[in-house]
Amino acid sequence: MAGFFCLLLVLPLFIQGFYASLLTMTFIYIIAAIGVNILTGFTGLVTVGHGGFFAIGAYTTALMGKYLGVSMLPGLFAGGITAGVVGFLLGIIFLRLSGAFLAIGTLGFAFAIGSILNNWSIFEGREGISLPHNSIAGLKFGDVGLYYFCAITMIFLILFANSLIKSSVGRAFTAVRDSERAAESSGINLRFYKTLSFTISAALTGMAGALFAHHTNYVSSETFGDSWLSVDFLVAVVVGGQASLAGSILGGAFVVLLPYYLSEYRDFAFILKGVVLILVLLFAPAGLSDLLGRLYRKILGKIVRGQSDVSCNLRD
Amino acid sequence: MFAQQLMSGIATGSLYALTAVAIVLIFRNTRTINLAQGDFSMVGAFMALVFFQVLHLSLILAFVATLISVIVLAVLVELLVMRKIRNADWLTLFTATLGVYYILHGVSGWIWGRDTKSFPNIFSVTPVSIGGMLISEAHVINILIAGGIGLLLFLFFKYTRAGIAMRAITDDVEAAQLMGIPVKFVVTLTWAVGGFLAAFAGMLLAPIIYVSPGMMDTVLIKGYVGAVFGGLYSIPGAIVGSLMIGIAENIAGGYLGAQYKVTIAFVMIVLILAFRPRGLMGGQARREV
Amino acid sequence: MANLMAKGVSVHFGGVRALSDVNVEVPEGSIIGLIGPNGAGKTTFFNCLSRFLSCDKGTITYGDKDLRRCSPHNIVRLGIARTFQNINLFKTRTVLDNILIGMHRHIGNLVSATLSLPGALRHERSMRRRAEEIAELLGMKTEINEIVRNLPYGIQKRVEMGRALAAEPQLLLLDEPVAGCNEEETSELCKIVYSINHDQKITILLVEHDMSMVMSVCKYIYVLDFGKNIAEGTPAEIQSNPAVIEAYLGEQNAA
Repeated sequence: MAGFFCLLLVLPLFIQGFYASLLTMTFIYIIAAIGVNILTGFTGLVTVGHGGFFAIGAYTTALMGKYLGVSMLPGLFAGGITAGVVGFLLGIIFLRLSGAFLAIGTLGFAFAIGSILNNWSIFEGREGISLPHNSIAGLKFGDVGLYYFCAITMIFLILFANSLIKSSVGRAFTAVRDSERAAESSGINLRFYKTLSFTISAALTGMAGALFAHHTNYVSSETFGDSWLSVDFLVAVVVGGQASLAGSILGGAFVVLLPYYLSEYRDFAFILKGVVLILVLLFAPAGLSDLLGRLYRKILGKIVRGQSDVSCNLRD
Repeated sequence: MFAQQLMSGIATGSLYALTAVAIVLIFRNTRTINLAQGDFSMVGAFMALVFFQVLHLSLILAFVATLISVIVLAVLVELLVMRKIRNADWLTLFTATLGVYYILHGVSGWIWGRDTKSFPNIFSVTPVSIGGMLISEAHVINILIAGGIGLLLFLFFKYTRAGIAMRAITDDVEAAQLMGIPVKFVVTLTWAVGGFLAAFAGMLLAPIIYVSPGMMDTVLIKGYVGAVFGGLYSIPGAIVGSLMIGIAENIAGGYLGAQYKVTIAFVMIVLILAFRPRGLMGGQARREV
Repeated sequence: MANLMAKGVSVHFGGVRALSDVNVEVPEGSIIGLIGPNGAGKTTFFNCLSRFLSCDKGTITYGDKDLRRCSPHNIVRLGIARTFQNINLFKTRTVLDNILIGMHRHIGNLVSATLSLPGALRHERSMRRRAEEIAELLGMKTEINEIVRNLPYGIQKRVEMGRALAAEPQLLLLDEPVAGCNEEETSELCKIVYSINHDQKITILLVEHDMSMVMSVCKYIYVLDFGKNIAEGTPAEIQSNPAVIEAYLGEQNAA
């Protein structure tokens, strides 16, 4: 993992500004996917509505930038906090829901956010809001600067998520997912942990949304008003691997890079996305991270033949 | 004025009901929340355009051809994708239908383009007077057709062997299997019925919302509201829910402004789910050990 | 003294009376048995105690606490832990994970735990040590890193007990701990249950279908049939009680 992080930090020295910008987008999706994974993969509450939190984060920083002149860093935190608060409230409203009912409820939430963005004048609908030039403490940021900002934010959030899921809080999340009954009789307060998971998950996705707003420097209901974002995040989690941070990294990259390389053939990108999704579900139901993990172990096993018990930490 | 809005609400609601009932049927027999249900209708609308305008088939012939092609599509989805993962958890089933959704969206966009196409008005929109109320002929016909399909389904479930077998699977798959009901075949049949309903929804909605790959996206959401109203289980519940959302959004659209139509759908989802997690007409959930 | 007192507990499902006017008392430090034929209402009663079910009538108190006011997770905080008849574990996780989840009551500072601060890491290490001790006590130290699903039934029963013990309860509710176990596993579990009560000073209420186990470990026994108390007393008294014999004979004839 450390090697991966180092690679990210030296990469801009070798690539063009344009690819830096594409990778920045990938980081943003990875953060959002990790947010969704905490709720869906680790806590077992399927959400098809995190595009709503993404939008809340983006509009928070956009509006604060426009009206208060607030810069990127406070905007990032404000976006996370606002999304977290809304996530907390939605978590309470949907507390008794699970499974398909929760999925439909969250989908409704995303649609409602879209409809609010379209109709309330402060959000300026399809006209959209332009953000001030990206800067921190007066220092202006270009593509590469934003690359570092997003990369560092992502690394911090991955480390945070990693520490969260390995802690007793993370254990409580997975306990809620695996058996509510057993969790309760171990003294785990279902309401508390479900709401906590909702809040943290929404906050992470909200931060991703704030970064997205700074990346495009512009927000409008065109981007944030439809359900594709929510669906993309869920696809990232399922394709990458549920309850796996490495999976969210792979999945986030999958949903950003595939349409990009096929951007001239948008319909073809759709078809390919659908086909890959179905193939993954049919042949690697635990996701790409699991598939690559097994492949890696197999190759490693061939190289170090005779040496048994090869462990692999790719999933962690 | 109010009565008129009520009538047009019922007319739209009965079209949503076609989607909602299909969602419930497929969910309760296969645990699948079918995201591609709307796209079955969308493909149906495009097919109808092809049969009607390109191949110049007669109205009835184009209609039957569309019906058959959508049913074939739904059955293919079941046979090629859903059957292979039928024992997986519901999220896998759900995402698989999402994959189908992507593919159908992509294929239709590829073949027919992303532009919105108009659909010929088969029924005249000239208002007819019923009991002093002016409503368009199309509305009346939509209500009649949807009602007719409802009656057909009722008779199907009550009197035909296939319908009774479908209900038996809903109640208890294992018991149905022991009774010698061919479960796999009945599941395929369920998808076929889903396709049948989708074809009607597509053809009846097409003149109203026009034809494009994304035409059914918001209708699908309203279908979900209706389905959730019946706890994703009860067909009468889904029908009542769909009518209610049709009425609610027409009245809200009339008094608050058209842009609030979608918001109403969400408000209804939240209210229903927050207060009655298993739907208003779904069974009461009981905690069991 | 934290005694568990259940008085006049009644529960009905629709029109069916599952429990009517059941009385059970579990004094601190004791090991009490609750027996009865299949369908006598033992598990229903248990679910009332652990709040997975609400009783329609009656009182349930533990010390000076009214259990009817608690939610299932709060029961654990009062020092009451339970096991399930049909194993209810996190089956895709290791034995260690299951025991650690059972320690949830001692989670400590949430923020510190989430951020893996040094204090939390120390706490985590001490929890792991404690989990290993519990595994050793239950004779499954070698299986501690195994996935629960892959373990034999008898061991899974012990993991369930380990998860309950991890909460460091003062009162342990065991729901048919030997159901489905072979003779060897049963006698092994009898010893464990005895030592939990005797060495760790944990009060135990044992629901069991298997008479021999109850007779060998319990000091006092309550008998339920058709949701009612039909007898109570020492093992010797119960064994010679005609009502009990009839209840069990009736079942044998039916079978």
